[in-house]
Amino acid sequence: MNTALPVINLYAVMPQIVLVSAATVVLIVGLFERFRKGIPYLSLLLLAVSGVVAVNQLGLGPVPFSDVSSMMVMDDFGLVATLVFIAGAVLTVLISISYAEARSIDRGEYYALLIYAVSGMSMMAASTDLFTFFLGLEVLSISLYVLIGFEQRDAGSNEGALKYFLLGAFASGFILYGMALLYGASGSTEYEAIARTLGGERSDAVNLLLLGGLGLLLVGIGFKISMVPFHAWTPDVYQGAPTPVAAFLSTGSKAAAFVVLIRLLGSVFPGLQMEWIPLISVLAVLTIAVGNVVALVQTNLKRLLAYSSIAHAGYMLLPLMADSQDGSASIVFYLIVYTAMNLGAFGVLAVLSARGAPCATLEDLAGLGSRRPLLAAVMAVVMFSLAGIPPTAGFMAKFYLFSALVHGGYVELAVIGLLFSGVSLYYYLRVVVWMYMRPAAETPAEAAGRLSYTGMTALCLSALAILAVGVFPSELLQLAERAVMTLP
Amino acid sequence: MNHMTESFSYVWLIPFLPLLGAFINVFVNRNPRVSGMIACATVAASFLLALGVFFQLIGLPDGERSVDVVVYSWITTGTFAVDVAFLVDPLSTVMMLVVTGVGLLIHVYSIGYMGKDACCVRYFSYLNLFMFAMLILVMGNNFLLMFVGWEGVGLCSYLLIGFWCERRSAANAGMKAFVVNRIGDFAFILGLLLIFLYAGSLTYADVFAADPAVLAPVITAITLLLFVGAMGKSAQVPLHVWLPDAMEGPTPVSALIHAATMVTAGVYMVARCHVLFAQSATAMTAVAVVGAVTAIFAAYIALTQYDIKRVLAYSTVSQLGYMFLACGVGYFTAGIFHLVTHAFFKALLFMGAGSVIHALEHALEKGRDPQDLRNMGGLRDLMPVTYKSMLLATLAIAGIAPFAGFFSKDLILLGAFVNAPALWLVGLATGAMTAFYMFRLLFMTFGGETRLSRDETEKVRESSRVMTIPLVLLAVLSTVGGFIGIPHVFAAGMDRFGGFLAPVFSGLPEAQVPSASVELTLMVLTLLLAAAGIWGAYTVYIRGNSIFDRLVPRALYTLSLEKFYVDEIYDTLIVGPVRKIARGCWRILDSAIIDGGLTLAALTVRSMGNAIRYTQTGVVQNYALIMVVGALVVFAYITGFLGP
Repeated sequence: MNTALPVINLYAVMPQIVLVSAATVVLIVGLFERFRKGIPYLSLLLLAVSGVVAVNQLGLGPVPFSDVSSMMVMDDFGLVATLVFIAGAVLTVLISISYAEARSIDRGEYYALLIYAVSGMSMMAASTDLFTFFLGLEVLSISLYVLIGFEQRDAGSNEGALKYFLLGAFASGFILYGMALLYGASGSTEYEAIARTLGGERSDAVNLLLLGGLGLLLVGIGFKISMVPFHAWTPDVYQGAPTPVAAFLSTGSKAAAFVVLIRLLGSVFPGLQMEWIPLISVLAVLTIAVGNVVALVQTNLKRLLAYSSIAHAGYMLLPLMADSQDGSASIVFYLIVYTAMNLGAFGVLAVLSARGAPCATLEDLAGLGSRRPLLAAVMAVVMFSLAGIPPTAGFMAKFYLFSALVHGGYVELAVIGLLFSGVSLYYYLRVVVWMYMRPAAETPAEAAGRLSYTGMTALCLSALAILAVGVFPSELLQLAERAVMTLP
Repeated sequence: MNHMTESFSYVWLIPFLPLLGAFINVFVNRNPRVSGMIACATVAASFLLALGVFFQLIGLPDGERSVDVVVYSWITTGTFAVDVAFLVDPLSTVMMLVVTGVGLLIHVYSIGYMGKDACCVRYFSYLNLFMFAMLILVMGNNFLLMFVGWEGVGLCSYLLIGFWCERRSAANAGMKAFVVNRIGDFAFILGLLLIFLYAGSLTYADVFAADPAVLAPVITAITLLLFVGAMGKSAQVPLHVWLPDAMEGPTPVSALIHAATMVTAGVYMVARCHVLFAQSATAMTAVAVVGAVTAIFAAYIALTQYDIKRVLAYSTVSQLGYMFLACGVGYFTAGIFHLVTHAFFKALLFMGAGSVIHALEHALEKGRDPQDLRNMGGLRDLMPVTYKSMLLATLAIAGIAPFAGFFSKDLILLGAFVNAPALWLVGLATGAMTAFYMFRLLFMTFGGETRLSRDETEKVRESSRVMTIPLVLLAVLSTVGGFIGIPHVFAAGMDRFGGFLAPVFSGLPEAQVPSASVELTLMVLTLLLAAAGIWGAYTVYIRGNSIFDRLVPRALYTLSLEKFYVDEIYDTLIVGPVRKIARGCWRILDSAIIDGGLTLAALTVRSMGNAIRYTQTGVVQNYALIMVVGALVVFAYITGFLGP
């Protein structure tokens, strides 16, 4: 009997290989105390290298990992997502440097774990099989559990890590059960095979397995993107986690889950649209509503941003319903913009908290406009963008998102989204009001002295990017459109 | 075409550099001494680039002197596409040079005038922002970009009029300018909408090339609406009321925005749209008549004002009227020519007035108004540079040959004589009045006996170099600036200015030119009337002859002094009733219904937020429970599809 060995195409997974090796190098170099100061810069360099590798593969078309079982695929969609994750990680490293030094958590593992997390996210984005998806998810999640609890002497950090771990494990359980059901229905873990099963004649039993699998997967992924009612962990964990980690958590890990969701719903489960569209639309509206309404009454900045990120997850769920390339492209565009905005917002807090007491509440921002004009300007840009006011990228992102929704025939969902977007103005602008129109407290919470250069660089970069995309959106939109073009 | 576009690809820097300056002054720079230099340096760089554009343009053959430079596509949705693109042609180049050139001198002057102000960083960032908006206005190749600049200069004008916002009158003046301009802007927007509806594009090239038959049903509406927009921006009667009040702003602002550049945007727009205006005889007549009426009306008011800046403000309104008169009779080149020379001498007059005010502010006792002509006099020897340069500017505005104003005004009057003799008479009379009120201003400020006390006189000092050098440079331009457009009768082919602009206005019918003898007679007549005006001012204000007091009825005098009661009429007819209605709306609609409703909605939403917050217990078991319940609901829903 002839057994042909599968042809394996390592080139297809090159970005993931580079990322994993980069993380390992950082981990090893981090063992040497004398290189301690250089670790973040080494990480930046290696992230840049992996970015270059990913850029070079753009446009080469779908290349499967092997000819027998696809497992993973190299396509523009996964590559663009990987690039977004890498960019997010670069910004996170930049805002981490002074924060980590001040809290003595600037150890090699911190940066290594960050890059491992990126490799996991990248794996999720490229996966075309439930196995690789789960593998990436766990690499990401385990890195995050450690990162959230990295401030060992801080009770909040420990509490956050434990909560995220317990609930995350719970969610992973849901996902695994879901996968088991899907395997039971189709006899394969490959997306393609499952889609084939869905396409053919199905008995009631198979239907039950498929529907149950989809439901359980949605619960698990819903946890990762903080979809209501699986969002409860979000504010507690963001509040407890080291601020740069919260920034990373709110952007990268959420984006990775969204990327998987787009792939799954778009190419595996279109056959069950009748079933999941009403479900997701109800959950999306609930997510938008809960996120925006509860954010109104927050005074802690990290909790406010947590609810804001819940609300944004809700917006990004909406175009899934439109089931069009435009819709998926608008989600990718939104994800990119959202990464810049949220990293900017958390970054301001991280830079402010690097020295002295953490900048925690709205009161701590009072008078920031005169105390730290550049930082306050960045924060104002980010807040305007989050609120979706032109000429910022946030406006363009919402514009494309809602127009895709309207084109898809979901006018009522667009109206609901816009109404809640109006509600959100209140809490975003409240931050601006506190910065510019309230006198500073006698003794500002943060210490005097210059702010970290690296942190400010990252913040100015994201603010400029937000404004640039707000004025010149077409290039980025084309990139997003190109990315979703490769999806089946 | 392509390589030409490329060779002009740097033009975007011209508006961008001042924007960069504004950005630096807002976000980075805290040092007041550096702020002025940043502002000046960016404008100087823009000016040099504009000069580069000019020389590059005259190096091209006549027919190719119109280049669209696309920077990027701005908005593309369905049938609507607008680029951020600049149009480089003789008209926009002239405007660029005026805006950056005169603007640069005013920026330099501002260092001396505003350098000691506590908020001078803010001042210079506004000023730079204004330059950006103004350059966008004149350089855009489509109506939308022009509109962006149009609103941008309006905003900067508002900010700078109310710059000393702790003074209530300044804040109110800013508001008034904004509100009055809004009327014009509204008409302007309607005009743009009509253009888009009928021509299907907002790009100049497409709109001007559109088939006249397509536009015919609405061409009069379009041009009249555009013109109403121009009337607001360029302070034409009856929308002129904001400009005199705008003098509350710092004096260099009056020179830059309310004399040399922004207020001429309306004239530029009409000239830019000459293809459209030429298609509607009604609109052309309206432009000419409104221009002529404004010219004489404002000049009449200027005769009796005592505030030095208000005299200049009404004079500006009147001169803008001349420019519209020129456009209305089809002499667009003359309108732009007068725009240029007026920028020279009026900026100089304002800056000279600023120099006087600056000196008197420090010299006069408390309570004496440093802007009141009645508190001046005899300053000639105390401020020689200011005096001499203002004298040259006054000669220029009075239309005395061979100063700059003579050539441009002469061309306008010639056009009016050929096409609308009645309006020519109005223009002629205005010329005499201009000479009178300008020399009245000059004599009351610098001539005769001083009305300052001895202590005060001793404290008067000539302004510093940084202020006087721009004055001298502008004085040179006011003196010789007219030679760029020497009329045909004197020397054939020496009308360089007309020749340069000719490709822009080539589509218009050939202007009729009267015989040389008629033209010369007209010139002499104009000069005689100007001389008569000067003589009149000399008799009254130097010789102290009270002949006019006896000859002129009191009512005519009061009418001029009280500015025809326009503000009072507006107050009773419009502002008062609108206020009453607004109050009613506020009480019933806003306070009770909308506010009440909003408060209720906000309370509901907040209490919802508070209620949901209680589910956030912080206990991880509860969260897991919520997840399980959620998962059960999802499961129940999904399995519900299986059906019986």
